[in-house]
Amino acid sequence: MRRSLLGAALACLCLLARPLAAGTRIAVDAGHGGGDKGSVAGSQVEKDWTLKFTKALTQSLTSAGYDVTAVRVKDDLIPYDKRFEILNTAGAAVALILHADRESTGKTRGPFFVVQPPQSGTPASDEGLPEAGSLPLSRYKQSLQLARQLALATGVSPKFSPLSDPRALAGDVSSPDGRILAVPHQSLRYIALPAVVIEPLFLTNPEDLELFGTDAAIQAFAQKITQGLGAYLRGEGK
Amino acid sequence: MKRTVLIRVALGLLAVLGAILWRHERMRGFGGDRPKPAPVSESGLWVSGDKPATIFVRVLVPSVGEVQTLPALIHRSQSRLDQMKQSVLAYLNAAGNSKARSLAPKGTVLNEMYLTDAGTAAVDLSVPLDPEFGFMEEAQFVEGLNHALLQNFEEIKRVRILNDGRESGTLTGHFALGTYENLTNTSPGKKPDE
Repeated sequence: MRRSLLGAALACLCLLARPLAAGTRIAVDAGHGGGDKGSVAGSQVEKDWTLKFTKALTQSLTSAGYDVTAVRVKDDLIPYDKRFEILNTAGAAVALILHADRESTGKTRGPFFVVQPPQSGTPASDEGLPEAGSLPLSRYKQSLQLARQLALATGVSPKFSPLSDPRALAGDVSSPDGRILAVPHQSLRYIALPAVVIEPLFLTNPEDLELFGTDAAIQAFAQKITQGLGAYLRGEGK
Repeated sequence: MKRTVLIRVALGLLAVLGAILWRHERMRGFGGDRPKPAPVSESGLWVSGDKPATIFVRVLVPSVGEVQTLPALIHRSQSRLDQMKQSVLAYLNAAGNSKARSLAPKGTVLNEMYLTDAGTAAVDLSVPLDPEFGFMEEAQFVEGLNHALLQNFEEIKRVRILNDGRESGTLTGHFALGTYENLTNTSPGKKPDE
């Protein structure tokens, strides 16, 4: 009797000690690919960078014990509808989608994170559309899906320094530091689970390119994302 | 006998196929291959004697690497729609300011614009697919266009952007158009100069 109680207690302890990551599936996707190069800045091509970061993130997540579904693992073109199907049916807890940005002044630096604002309905007619100016970020929090996405973005982002130049689109669609934007992104359009677009760098910024010039630096970035994700999944920082 | 029947059936099938193909080509002539309308030209939107009016549009100022809102002059044409078209052109042309740059991809033109009774401005653009255009730039371009109309014209409640006459998921590949067009947090629009 005593022995069986001890066994049960040990089993409970083992379960408690079991890392949260085990059995948790994360979906990752590298934006663009194949004939779709994404943004280009000189010799820098977005599809190559997204694949580099996705591979590093896959490795980091796997090392931390997560199960990973990677949508794009080589340089091929996967249509958006196929991507959405894979991401939505993988049984994943969250989706992390990698992109890289560019802009003409060369001054803006990453990283930044994008979440999808709530849909306002298909504008087939004027009926049911919100009035202009009625959707500041504070009100987005009324949307459960957006709240989950914001929590995810906040979870994976705090370990990074703020953008050097937030260039916020409008004050109410970005977080105070300009690092998280609630702006509609094509890669998030039909994703039903909490998802965030991660944009580690600007292809037009020399410092960003230098910062991520080595595999080790990309791996370190991926580890920060993995740590932040762990905190999000444990419910920290809600 | 049997051979003749087969030949007749084959000829009949060919005739049906020919008719289908002819109809398809005819429909293409009416729809898919429509010639593009000529871009809207500013000179046709006002007449001499129309007073100037000040509007505000967003531009990129490369020297500081910032998006700023600058004044731009349009003409107070009799047609309110023509004033709106001038606003879009002023936005696409960076307010005519040589020190500023337009937020639109190079080569973007305004084809046509309509305003519904319910206040939806449908703006038909031709936007070149520019690989040197990122997500943030695309978002700023769309937000800037929304701003140019919503901020300057009180009767516009929302903006719908078309690309070459068609609803499009995205203009240059990143920003999701369609259901989120009204994100710009602008105060209710004003009449030019008010």
